Amino acid sequence: MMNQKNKVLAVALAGLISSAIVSDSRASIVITIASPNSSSGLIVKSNLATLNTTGFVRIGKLTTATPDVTKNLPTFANYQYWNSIFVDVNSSAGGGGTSPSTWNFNSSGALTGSSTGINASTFPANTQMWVWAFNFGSLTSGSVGGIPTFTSTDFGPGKITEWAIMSADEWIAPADNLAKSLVINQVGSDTVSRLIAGTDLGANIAMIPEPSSMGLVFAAFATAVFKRKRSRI
Amino acid sequence: MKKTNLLAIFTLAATPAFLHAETTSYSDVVGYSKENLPAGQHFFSPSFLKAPVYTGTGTLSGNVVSGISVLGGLGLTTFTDRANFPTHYLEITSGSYAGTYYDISSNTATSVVLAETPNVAAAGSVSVVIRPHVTLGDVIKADSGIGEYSDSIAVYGTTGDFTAYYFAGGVVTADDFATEMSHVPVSPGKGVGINTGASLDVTTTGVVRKGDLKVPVYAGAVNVVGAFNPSSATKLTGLALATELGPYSDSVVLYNSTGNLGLIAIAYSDGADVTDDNFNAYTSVTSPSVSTKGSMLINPGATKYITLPGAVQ
Repeated sequence: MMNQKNKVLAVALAGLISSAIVSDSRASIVITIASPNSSSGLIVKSNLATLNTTGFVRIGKLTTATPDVTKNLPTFANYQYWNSIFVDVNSSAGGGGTSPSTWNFNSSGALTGSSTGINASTFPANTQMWVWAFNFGSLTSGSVGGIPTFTSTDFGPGKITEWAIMSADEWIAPADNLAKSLVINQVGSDTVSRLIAGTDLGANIAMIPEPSSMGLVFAAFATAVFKRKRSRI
Repeated sequence: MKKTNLLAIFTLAATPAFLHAETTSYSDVVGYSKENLPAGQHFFSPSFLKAPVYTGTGTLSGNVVSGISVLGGLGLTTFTDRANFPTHYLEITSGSYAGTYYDISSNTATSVVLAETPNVAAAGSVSVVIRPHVTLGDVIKADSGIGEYSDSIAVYGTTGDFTAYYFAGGVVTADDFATEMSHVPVSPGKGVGINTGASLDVTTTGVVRKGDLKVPVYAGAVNVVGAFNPSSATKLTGLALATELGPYSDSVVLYNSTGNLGLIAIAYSDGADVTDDNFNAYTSVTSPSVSTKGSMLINPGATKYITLPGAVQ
């Protein structure tokens, strides 16, 4: 049997072990994105075209609960802002999870796949998860990282002209050793919308364009609405 | 609301499996359990096994058991476009290694090759039972209320790793929501992690476990271990944890079943009793329990076996 001194030490040690178990720094989570087909919602371009093997998504958390939603348009200055408050699940400075190639839009504009081995202490249970989608660039798949870093020259025609930034009530990190799927068509149904950059089309989420293209997109939407109304007459 | 039905005295005497057995068979009790898991996160273990395809004796040498008579393929699944997994396992039912079980890699009509080699001391003539694995497809069905694309099922490895599966198109899938993975096994006594956005009814059916089972738990792994009693909770003091856990070091963590994984207890052993985390011994009255819809997480310092008593001894 243990003497009292050893028991005290053991209790203290057990306390440390217990804390470690309940919030195990080795514990990991898995985050998956579900945008596999039109029935589950796609992220599409502002003109409603699919992102055919162009662009990718970043998935992570924000370091602030009150992001500046006025910085929602895809400019380099706004990129720097969001980049400074975005913690990726698959970066070494973030969650340390794997980077799946399927977080690049495929030929159908779909997204699937998981980042595994995400440090649960960086993304504790109930952390609000965010998706930041770009119409340009690609994620280099691998064990960790591969997230492109953009400069001012990456913004403009033929490069980054559109993006979407979104979350949903259901998008919360799971407890240690569990997985969570972020389903795109859950975006927009919240009481307080977490669609900061993008347009909720019901079935899909459309990216928003750079400021210079806003007028053209508005005209495209207005034309579409006008034609729908005309067709109902 | 839990619903459990045990259809007692259902004999397997008329099954083809029995016709290939070389020793006297026994009556297996079968039944089903319907567990309601509230929205949220859970660790869940099936309470039932599948009926045996072989019960008899064999000769164990290395990782081969010969001198048996089996029909059909007992080895891995044979998909060419997705991961393959064991379909059957062999359990030793006699001697000091009774209750240990091993996945089957392949077989002939008269022998099976095990995926790992049992302790050399187990070699020789042994009584064995061969059963199909319970799979994710057996546990998670379309009528359970599981959310397609959103709800997840975690299956744990032996090194702290785990793989997440989902549900789409009416079947369990990989994370591409297209590749069916219903064939992933849930080893006997082990459990899975479930993250569900809405209430889930998990219905499991099969044979009630008879006798002790030795469940391997691994250092550094997420060891989700259930209890085989489908009709009532199992007290920790009713298990052999007092002697099987490393004193003052190995732990058992119990969470509630309400969906928020609220902590019920962290238990240890002092070498003689199961204790709380202040090393005060639990009694059969004060002991926390593994509920029929929950599991325990076991954190051993070294790989070992944990004995799970069957619902029927």
